[in-house]
Amino acid sequence: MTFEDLVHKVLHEPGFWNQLKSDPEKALKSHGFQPTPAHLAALKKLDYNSIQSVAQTFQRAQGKQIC
Amino acid sequence: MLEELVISPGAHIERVPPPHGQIVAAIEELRAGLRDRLPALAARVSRWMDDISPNGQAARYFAHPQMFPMLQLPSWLAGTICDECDTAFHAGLVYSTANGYYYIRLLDNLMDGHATVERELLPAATFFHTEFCGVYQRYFGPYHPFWRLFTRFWLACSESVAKEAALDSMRFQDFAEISAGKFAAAKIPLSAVACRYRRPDVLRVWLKFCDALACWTQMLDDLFDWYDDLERKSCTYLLSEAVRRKSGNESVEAWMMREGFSWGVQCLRDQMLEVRRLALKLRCPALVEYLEKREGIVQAEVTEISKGLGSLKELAAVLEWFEGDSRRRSKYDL
Repeated sequence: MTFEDLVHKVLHEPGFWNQLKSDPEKALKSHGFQPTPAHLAALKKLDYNSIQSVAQTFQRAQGKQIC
Repeated sequence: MLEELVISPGAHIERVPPPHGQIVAAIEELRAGLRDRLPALAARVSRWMDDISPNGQAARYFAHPQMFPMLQLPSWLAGTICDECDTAFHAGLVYSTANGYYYIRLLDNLMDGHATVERELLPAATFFHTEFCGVYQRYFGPYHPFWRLFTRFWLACSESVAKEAALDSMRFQDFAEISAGKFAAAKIPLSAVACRYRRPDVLRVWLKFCDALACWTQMLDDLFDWYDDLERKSCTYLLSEAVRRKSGNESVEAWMMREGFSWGVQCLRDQMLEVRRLALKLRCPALVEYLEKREGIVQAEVTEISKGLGSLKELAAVLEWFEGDSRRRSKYDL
């Protein structure tokens, strides 16, 4: 999965994030990947909430609230 | 030209009041005016004024620390040029500016596709415009030099909205001119204060400050709303830079997440240096306090988003590592 694909998923597929957060193995397998224990360990260390909050911030237009 | 000043007699004079009470009073006066002079639309317009406020209360909207300080600027300027001010005049400026804001906002929402009920409320534009001008008509005669400034800044607003709508790509020079123009209506009450207190000499640096703050505010808007702007195909300086700076096959979305947000934050910081440099010249502690508060709020949001973007890059690295392993395994298997 490229950075480009990842960004697309961040912005357009909230379901993927919920799955990745709760069950990374299942989320990756559903995208055709076979993660190793090392990958899963690395994935578990990530802060998914902060990634999700980026998506939510950018998707919530707020310019008219400030000017 | 600003020396030919006419000051209306009988003004009630006291120290510059804090604008919050005046804002609440202005909104109440506005609602009462609507009920009295535009009864067919009053309730809907009044509700719209609350609805466009993030906290659902029109008066609190204008006092929000993240709002462009259009209602506060005149009092701040007055505070630097006189110890005692005409409170009725300042209350009138707050009332006028609130009406001017709603006039612009009504049209702006229709122009940029954010409208919900605005089309049905369009006749209220006449009310807002009349009330906006009415206050100045009480203080400045028809040949007063104030009106030249009024016309210049009021039309600059319309000109920049039209200019922005016609562009499909924006350079920094366009951005700076358009941003300054879009906020030029805020210069009208500032000009009124300079005229009223016979201090046209102070106006130039306040107007320059207004331009710089407008640029910073517009950049902030473009940075936090880039996704909405992209979806709506709006032309902004940030998105124009994204198209110029992204690599060949990269999407604007990916550039914004990879590099663009940080680039925009750096632009904001550079612009704030100029805002602060000009603010120092104004010798207005309340304004400096406002800037510090705003910077603090923005910094907290930037920190939060930067943390998320860092995690996103870490995730991308893990997934790339994963893909690399998969490819190696496949090769090995073959």
